[in-house]
Amino acid sequence: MIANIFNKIILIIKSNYNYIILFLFFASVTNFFKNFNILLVRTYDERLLRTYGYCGGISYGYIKKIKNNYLLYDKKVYIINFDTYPSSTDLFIDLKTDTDKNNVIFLNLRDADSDKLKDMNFNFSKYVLLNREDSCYFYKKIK
Amino acid sequence: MTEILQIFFQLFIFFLFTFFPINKFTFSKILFVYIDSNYNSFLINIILILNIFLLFSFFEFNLNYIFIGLLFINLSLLFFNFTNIIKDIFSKKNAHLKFAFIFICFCFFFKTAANLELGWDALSYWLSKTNNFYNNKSIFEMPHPASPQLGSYIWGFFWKNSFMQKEYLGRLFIDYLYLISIFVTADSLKKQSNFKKLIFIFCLILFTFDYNNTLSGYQDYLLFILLVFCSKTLLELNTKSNSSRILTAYFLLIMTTILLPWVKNEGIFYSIFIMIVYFFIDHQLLSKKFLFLFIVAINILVRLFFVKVILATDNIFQFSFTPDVIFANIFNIKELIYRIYYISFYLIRSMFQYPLILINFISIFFLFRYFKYLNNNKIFFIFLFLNLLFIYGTYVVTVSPLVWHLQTSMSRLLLQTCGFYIFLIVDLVNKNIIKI
Repeated sequence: MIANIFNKIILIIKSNYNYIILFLFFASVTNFFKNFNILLVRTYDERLLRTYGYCGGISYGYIKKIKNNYLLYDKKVYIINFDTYPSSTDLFIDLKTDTDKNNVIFLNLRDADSDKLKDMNFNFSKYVLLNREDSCYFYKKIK
Repeated sequence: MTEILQIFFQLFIFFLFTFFPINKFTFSKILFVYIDSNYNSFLINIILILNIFLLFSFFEFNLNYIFIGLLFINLSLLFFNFTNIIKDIFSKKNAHLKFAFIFICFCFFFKTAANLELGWDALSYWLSKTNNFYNNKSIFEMPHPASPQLGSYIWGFFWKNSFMQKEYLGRLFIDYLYLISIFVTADSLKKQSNFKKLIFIFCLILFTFDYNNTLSGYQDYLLFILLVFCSKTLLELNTKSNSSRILTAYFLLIMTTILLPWVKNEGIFYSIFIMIVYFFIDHQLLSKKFLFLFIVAINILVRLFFVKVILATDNIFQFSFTPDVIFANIFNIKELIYRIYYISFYLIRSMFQYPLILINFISIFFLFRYFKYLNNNKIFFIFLFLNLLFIYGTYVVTVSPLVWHLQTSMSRLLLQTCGFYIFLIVDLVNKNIIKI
């Protein structure tokens, strides 16, 4: 029985070897096996984190952490990225831009950005720093 | 593993939404002339569903209800024709191509799922528009209203209507449409073995595929797909086949051309080009030509009116043109030569990024050797001429820094239209001018 199945498989491979080579070639070009493995071992969140970084660039990880720990009810935040990147807010479907600037996240804020910060006229006396990691800061307005 | 199962399920959903309602099992008597091939059924259904999506995008309908409604219709049709469809799927006819399609779909789907990075424009514009539709908000609340909504609506629709509701699941539909368009092209090759067709398919994919620049949330492939469909229907109209087949192709061409301006702003120009090309097709009634002109004109006017008046946007296009700037660039010979030089340089550079563009150009010049075929393929020449005019015109008058503008957009602009010329290669192969 098993020998029969094995023989049939060998026959299929023999009669379709040119197609198989073609498929394998295409699979290697598109990294099929690597991508399949990534999907098996990495969660969606991990893949997003690896793509958009924790604190740096779009800083997906840091924003997610702030959202889960500090923005439990009021899912509004104003994000200022000191490096040139597209908006990070749209990566989170339930996050809205806080036009009142009650919750403010600074991303990629380094010493060299002090001039940019001055230009923004951000009044730090009205805010309290709730979290800081590397170049990422989360400020909340004092009520 | 759950995500992989979800991807399998998503492929089944895409198949349901694009193989039904019109195929050889359901409407065999009405549209028999055009749905002799399964790929033609896919083409018709895709154009149909994209038009339905376009229509629904103007209203604040819940995406789940639309999905359930369409799913119910398609599942019913599947149920009533289940035995025949299953027999057809598992028949040995074209088995290699069927397997290849599923396999390539998974190659693309896994690639999209594993690499979640969205392109710059996708993050800046398209994702926020998609979020709007995902949250069942109306088109009037849509951010960046100057950019059209169709691509974002499709993305949001399939994202919302997936079990796991992950962003990339919506984008997979664009991958799927892209592959269908490639297979539709290969299906038009006559008297070729399945193995040769497969090599042709792999070459087309390898010559146009660039994940980072296009499949990462950009809308350019959608234009590519629609222009492939336009090209196929135009070629159909250009040949002397039976009248009902021509009538079907005519309506398909109208429906596809309607979609173009709602995908990206460039689509406005492409729809005008298609209209002009149609005017040059022989043995078509003048009334048909004027009806087409009327529909395209109305469609563009509706799009402009919608953006300018209803959504009250300042600029319809990415940048505003002022007569001063246009004349300053055109009448300043030094500036004009400088611009034409850079445009030509980046045009050639893009050909090496997407080799299909290079092959298209070669096949067009190749045609000059065979003058007797020139008249039959004039649609490609006219489109190429208009396309080059558009490319040079855009970059000559652009107010953005020229080199930056060319670096960021030229290759994608060429990719959008390179699908149109694939049928020239197909036609040359079918006429035995090129042998594969």
